[in-house]
Amino acid sequence: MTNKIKILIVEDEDAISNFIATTLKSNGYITVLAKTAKEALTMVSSHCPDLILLDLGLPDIDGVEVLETVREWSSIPVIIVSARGDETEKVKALDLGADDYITKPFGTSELLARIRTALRHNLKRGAGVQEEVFSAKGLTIDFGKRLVTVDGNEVHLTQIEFKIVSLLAKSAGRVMTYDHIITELWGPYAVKDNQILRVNMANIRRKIEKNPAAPQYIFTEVGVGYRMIEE
Amino acid sequence: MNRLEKSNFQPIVFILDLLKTIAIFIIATLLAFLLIKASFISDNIFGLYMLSVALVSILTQGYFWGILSSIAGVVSINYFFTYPYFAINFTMAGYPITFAILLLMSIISSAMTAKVKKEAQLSALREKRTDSINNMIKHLLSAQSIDEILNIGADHFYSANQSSVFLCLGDPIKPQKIIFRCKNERDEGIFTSMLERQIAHKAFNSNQAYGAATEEGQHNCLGTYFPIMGNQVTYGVIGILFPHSKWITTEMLTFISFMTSQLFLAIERQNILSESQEILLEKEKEKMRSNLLRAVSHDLRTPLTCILGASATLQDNKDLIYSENGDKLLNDIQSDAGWLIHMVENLLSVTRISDHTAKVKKQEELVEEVVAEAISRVYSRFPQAKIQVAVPEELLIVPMDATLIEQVLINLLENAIHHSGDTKPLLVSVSKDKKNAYFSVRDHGKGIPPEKLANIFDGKSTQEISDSSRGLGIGLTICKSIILAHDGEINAQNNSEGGSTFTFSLPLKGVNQHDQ
Repeated sequence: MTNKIKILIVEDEDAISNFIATTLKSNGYITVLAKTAKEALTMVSSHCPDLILLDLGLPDIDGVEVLETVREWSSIPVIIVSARGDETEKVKALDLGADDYITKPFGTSELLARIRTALRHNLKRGAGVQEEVFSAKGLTIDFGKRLVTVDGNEVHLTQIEFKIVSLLAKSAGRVMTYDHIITELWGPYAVKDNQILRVNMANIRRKIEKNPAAPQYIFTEVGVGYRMIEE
Repeated sequence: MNRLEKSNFQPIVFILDLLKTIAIFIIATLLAFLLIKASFISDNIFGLYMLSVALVSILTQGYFWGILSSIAGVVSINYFFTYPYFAINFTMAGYPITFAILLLMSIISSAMTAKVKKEAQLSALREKRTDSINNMIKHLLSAQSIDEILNIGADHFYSANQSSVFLCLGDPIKPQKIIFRCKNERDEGIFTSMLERQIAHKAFNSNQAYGAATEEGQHNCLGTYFPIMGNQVTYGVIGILFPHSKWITTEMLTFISFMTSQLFLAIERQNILSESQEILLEKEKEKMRSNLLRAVSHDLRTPLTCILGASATLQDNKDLIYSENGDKLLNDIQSDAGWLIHMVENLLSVTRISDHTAKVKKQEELVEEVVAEAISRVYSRFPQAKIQVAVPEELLIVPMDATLIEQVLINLLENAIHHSGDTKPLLVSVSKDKKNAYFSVRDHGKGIPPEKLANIFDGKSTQEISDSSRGLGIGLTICKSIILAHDGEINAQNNSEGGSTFTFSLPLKGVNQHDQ
């Protein structure tokens, strides 16, 4: 990449934005800081960042509203930074178009990984690239042939199960909310009962994971959704 | 004894009284004949009949038989023992007045006997009522709960009045509790009817008795309702279905109002008692909270001091950062910060338990997902840890607050990592029976000292531990309160082959197994 990637950090706590900015700078990103929602919205239009790290608890306007405003005209990747415990808020932000979320407290490596994933997905989306095969840690999914193998052995999945797995694989590394998966699978009018989805997921795990309680490929974000391991 | 209380006309009593009267009359007449035969003096005959009248009055019920026997006596004296014999003749000079006086005297004596008898009956009744009130007070004093008090009250009202009883706590229209003591189903039906309820409601609201037995008795109701009330409050209503309106006397009403006030006092006492118990419980909670806070503030201060000190050292000696010592300081900062996060999350988890009910909001969760998340969080803090997992092959869905159960698993795992003093893999396993799911965390370390095993979850050990083994208690105390809030159980034991196992159970109640 010829140009350095610019990241907008929206965070009202100096200590946190300071440490994030330092980490990002030392990893070759350019950072822009905003402390309030209003400032952030101005920054988005004036600086055109490549990615936004958005803290939900802002002093003036709720972070979710910032996200909504940005999404009205832009598809800039947005990663939500939030405290643990407020699952409903996270889910709301994800359903409103946030690309991912990261929970405080987080480590720098985790943050960098999330940023890379979000940027890569955005790039792919922009280029319209759709891979034919997904593979990670011995799991391969051939979307065209509808074939799933684990360590070379074919795994038989039902129609629904395959749809779930391929949906997660296409957004590998990002969390998919229950509602998002249900809408993708059963349409927008399906009953938002994640019990059926979870039973399906449990069945998938029994087929592809060695130990369903210590998964390698599909991780549960309790109260939020699922995340597939990255390639 | 309680003839007065029974209904007015009873054929058996009537026939018995009739027989007694006839027998006494015949005996008196025969004795009079014998007296005449033996002495030819008729003076004693009046006395004999007087005696018989008195006897009849004492032995029978009411005035009726006494008066009847006195008339019969006068007639038979005239008929048998005065000239002309065996004929009625009141025309002789002086006789009508004499016999009139005799009749009057008979009536008076009969009436007086009857009155004495009635007094005796009344005093017996009073005694019985006093007895039953004493009895009730005695029982009420030993009552432990409002329910018990109401039941005792209903029982005593029923037995003391020999009538069907309806007792309700709160407004009869929307009662908190209702108790019936009925002779038959018909009576219960009467109490349940809308009209009767309305009257009971009126008694409750107006704080005075309403119903069949009251002066405002023109309601078409059958029961009489007395509010259970004191100075300021009315706790409920007691309804009585008197079988006969004659039963309702001023004395009866006084008696009932006295019983009602006893019931009121008992309920009030119980209320005060449970209030003070609540205060006691609140105090206990407060004590636990302050204990926890004390322990926590100690546990928070230590790592904060370490972080502050280490970072200040690094700031003052910048060249130290690149040395081995600096590396160690940075590591300390990191691990203490991690510890603080763990601590704070534990404390936050307590706030998810409802203060009021000490219960949690449960949702159906897949056990393996919760276990997996807990383990991954432990790994992210202790990458060197080794954890094995065994969950049932079948899907296990358990109602729980996933965040809290995760916290329990994390606490148990981190506890094992910190204190077992061993690096063999930990084992997390889940099993179930018909009622519960069982989670256990097992280590192969040095086990728990027996003297700590008994109250390891009570947080008592926190006060005596040194700085080096901080936080042993709080995590486990929180585990216990979380599991209790789920209606589960938690316990710890030492394994026979070394190490210890912490097990907790969660009830499966309300779980639907979803099939595809």
